[in-house]
Amino acid sequence: MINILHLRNYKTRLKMKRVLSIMLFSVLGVATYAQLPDIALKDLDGNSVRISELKNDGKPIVINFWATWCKPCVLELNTIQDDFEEIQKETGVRFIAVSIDDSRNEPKIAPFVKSKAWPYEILLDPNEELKRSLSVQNPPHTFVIDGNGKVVWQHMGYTLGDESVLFEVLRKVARGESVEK
Amino acid sequence: MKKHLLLLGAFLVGFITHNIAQVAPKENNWGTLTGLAGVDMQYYTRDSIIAAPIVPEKIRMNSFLFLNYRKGGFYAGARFEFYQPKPLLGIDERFQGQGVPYYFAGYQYKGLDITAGGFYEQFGNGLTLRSYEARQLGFDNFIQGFRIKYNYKGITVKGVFGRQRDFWSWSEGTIRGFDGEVNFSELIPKMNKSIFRLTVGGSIVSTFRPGEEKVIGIETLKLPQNVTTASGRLNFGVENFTLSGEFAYKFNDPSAANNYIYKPGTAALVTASYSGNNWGIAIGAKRIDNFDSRMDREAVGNRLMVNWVPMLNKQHTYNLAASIYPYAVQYVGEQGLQADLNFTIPRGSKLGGKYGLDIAINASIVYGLDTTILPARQTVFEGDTVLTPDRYGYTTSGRLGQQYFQDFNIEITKKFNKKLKLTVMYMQLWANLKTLTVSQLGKDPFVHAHIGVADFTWRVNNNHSLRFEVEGLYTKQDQGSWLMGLVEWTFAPHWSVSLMNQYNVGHPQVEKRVNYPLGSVVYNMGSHRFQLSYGRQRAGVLCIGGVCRAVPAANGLTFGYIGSF
Repeated sequence: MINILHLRNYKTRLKMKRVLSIMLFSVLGVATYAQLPDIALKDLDGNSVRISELKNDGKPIVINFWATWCKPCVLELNTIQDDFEEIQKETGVRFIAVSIDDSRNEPKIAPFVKSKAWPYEILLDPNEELKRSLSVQNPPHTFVIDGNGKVVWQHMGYTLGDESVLFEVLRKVARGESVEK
Repeated sequence: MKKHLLLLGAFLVGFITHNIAQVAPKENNWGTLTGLAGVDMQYYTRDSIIAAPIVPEKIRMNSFLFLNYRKGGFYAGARFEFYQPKPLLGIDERFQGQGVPYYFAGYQYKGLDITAGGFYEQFGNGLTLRSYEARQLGFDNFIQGFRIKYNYKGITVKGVFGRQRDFWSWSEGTIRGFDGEVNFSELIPKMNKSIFRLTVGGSIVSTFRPGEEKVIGIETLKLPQNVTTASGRLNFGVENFTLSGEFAYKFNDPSAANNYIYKPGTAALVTASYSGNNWGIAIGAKRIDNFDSRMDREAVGNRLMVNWVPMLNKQHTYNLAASIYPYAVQYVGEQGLQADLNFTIPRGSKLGGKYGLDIAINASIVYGLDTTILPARQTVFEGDTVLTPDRYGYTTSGRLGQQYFQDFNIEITKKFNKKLKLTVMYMQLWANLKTLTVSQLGKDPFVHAHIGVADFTWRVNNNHSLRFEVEGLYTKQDQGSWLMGLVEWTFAPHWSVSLMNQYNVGHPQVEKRVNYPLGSVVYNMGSHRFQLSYGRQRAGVLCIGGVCRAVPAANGLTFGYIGSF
């Protein structure tokens, strides 16, 4: 009986260790992998898109926060546009540009985007619901989501040359490699 | 007995841990924690030349930490704020203090979303309700209470109930609101396949503010304790054409903002837009009459605003265009028009070159309403006949009142090759400083100015780039002409160094022709950004979304950090 009890305790201790390590891993996991919130945003046609249900067949997704009045944002999206065809062919990326323009600028977004012939999917976040939920302060702010729907990389601001870093991250994610945040 | 208990305990622990161990690896995640932190700290030095206010505390700080947790459908969050010993110059001093004003918890289940605690919400364009945060303005009017949202196949309903943030306390009044919207394109599959799009919505907001009477002079006004605002909106589209509009009506709401009149308020917004290949146009019109809604009748400035009226002018970002004579929405009454045209001369064409040529043209004009103040009434008070204002206030005609603002601007961007890019902008503006009270009033009530900008970027190699910006504002009125120059060197992905100078070259008083040099270093690390600046900041107006605050002149060292994880 004592032996059994001892054995049980030993097993329990082993299990406890396992649980603790899982807990530790999970806490670290909290910081490493962020899942997307269940928020519905409208596209330019007024249709709802649920952010938590975004999919791209296991290939990377980019969520980029921008605004029509934000110069670095427009510069970033223009610069990415130059190489977009190539990078999309290579990585299969789905690129979503979320405009945080308020209702003052909302009617201008579609004409603005069409005039630039941007190849991105555009979503509207006029009262910054998704922006707040993803803890974004200022645009531009870019997130890369891997094939499992996890946020694996993010970047704040844009200066010329930053797009090469983003492309490299997308290539790694497309190959299934881990990305240093 | 002891043994049995030990055995039972061991069994229970074993059982529970076994089950957790079974479940945990599958989930492999205890939820998602994201956060945002920001620090703005400034060391102020005396500078009588630019009339910088004296700051006895020397160093002031605004900072915050926001934590946001999600696990499945459950979410919760809180924000700690710290403004000590006082908020930075220009931010309302009533923010002084520290604490956790904003906290919330809620859950989402199949399109249902329930929030308890603090939340931000907007109905339609914001004419009836908008709670939002603009940290740089020192503006935060979130609602503390309860919210339910439900979304099903293009039908969205929202209900809110709560009090509004008032610096470190809550409004005395309570807000109750309902909003509904139907997107027929999502609701009816047939329509989704057609070229037509239609969304119809409406909202009702009712505010309860205690207090039945207000004494002004010899008058005792009976106040409506419950004030209702209602609005209807529509968005209709055919292929690349979209027409949208919203009309809102407010029942009598005497307050300090409208000089305690009982006239109902109205607000109307209409916009039409069309997008073709490589071009797009948006035209907007609006008319606002007595539409200032607040949670406290006595509140003025940016305090306790319930609604938000979008402005109808371009949101400029070039320094001199954005912060010297910006337009602020006149909630008391205004009417205006705007046209915004964007087009790109396509890549590959003779003029467009390899990268195309972007052109943006924008024009807007705003007038006041043509009002007739109703004649005063004769009231007998203690044997004397006294004149008191007619409490309906005024009547309006369809004509234009006095002009408030006018802005015409054209911006051309040309990328010559992978290395060189040039943006030039010309703007002509006319502003009525009597109305735009946030601006410093010089001796001239009207300002007519021409602004020119050249913004040149040279990408030296993949990581290094240099940017030169030259701006000029020419005017004979107010503080006269300005010149600005900026050089910025960026070394991706981490460093950016810039030097800027603004010079009030044309100030009517020669001794006030002052330089405002400012140097900055920025270090960027993923989603963390550190900034250090030293120099003079010009007094001006900071506007975000049509809400403005005056920024006083300052001299000193500024440290800023913003980080998201």
